[in-house]
Amino acid sequence: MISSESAAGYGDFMNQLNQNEYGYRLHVTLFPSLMQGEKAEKSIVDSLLRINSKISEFDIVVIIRGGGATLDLECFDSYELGSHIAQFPIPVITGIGHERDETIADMVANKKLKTPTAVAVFLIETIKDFEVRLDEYFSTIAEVMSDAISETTQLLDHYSNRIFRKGQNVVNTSQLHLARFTNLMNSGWKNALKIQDTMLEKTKHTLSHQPLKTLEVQVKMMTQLERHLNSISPESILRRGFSITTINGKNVNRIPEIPDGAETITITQLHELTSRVVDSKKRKQ
Amino acid sequence: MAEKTFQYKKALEEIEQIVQQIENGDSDIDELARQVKRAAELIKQCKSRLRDTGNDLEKIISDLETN
Repeated sequence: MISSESAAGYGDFMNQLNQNEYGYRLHVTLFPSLMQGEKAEKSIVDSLLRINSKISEFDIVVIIRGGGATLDLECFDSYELGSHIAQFPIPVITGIGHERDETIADMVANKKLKTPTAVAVFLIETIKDFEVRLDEYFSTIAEVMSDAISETTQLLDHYSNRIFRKGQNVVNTSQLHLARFTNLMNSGWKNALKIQDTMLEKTKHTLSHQPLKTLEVQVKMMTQLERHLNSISPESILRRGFSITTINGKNVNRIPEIPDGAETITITQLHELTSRVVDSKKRKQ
Repeated sequence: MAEKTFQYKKALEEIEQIVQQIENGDSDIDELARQVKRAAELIKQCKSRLRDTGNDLEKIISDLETN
């Protein structure tokens, strides 16, 4: 701030600035200068030089003067001051407070306003505009980010779903394979056991029945043999009324010629008869 | 014991031989009686062997089937 400390415009400016409705706080450093008279030009230029020496601390230079006669403005029409203002590294705003044609300082300033209050209003409004723009930028960035995030999230969800499904499929397929192998193995050894079991049962059956059959055959045969033996035994023959005749203990059937008078012994069931042959002749067979 | 040397197959052969001899009428009367007696004795032994074998088999088979 380049102004006279006692200037009415300075007070107006500060009031306007400090009581702004948005609550902005602006840091103002006053560089007290003569704002009228012969020494004003040099004083203002000196202040500009002093500001320039620590230019990094400031954003803007405001030159303010409250009211006053038209003549008092001569210092603002100087080449020296105009030159400094025009080349100043940061914007210079003038609020010199006059109604007549603008001064040189006004013309070369970054912005000229008619009164110190107007400067304060301009600053506040500019900051306000800047803030609105920042808000807009922020909203836009937030929107873009939010869109990007939701898009990425959707994409991630999509991929994770696909991965999950794929994984699930792989697991399911593997489980099916395992189940099939397990079944095969189970039914495999079960079948093998079953076959062996069936064979053993068959063998057991054969073992249980065949020997008894063989035995039965033998028993039957033995019974037949016995019956046969009984039927051909001498006792049985005699019982049926046949007899056995021997000569000298020899069966007559084995003697080809039997002489008359030979002594025979005939055995019947009840008797043993001794006889003599009266006549003997061959039977026709 | 006689049981140990007893052979079913040989006994059977002998019985069949005796029966054949009797059927042919080759034997004289004393021999005949002796042969019939022998055959009857062999048949008795064979039947006894068959009975024992049957009992053994029954036992073995019932053991087999309870397992």
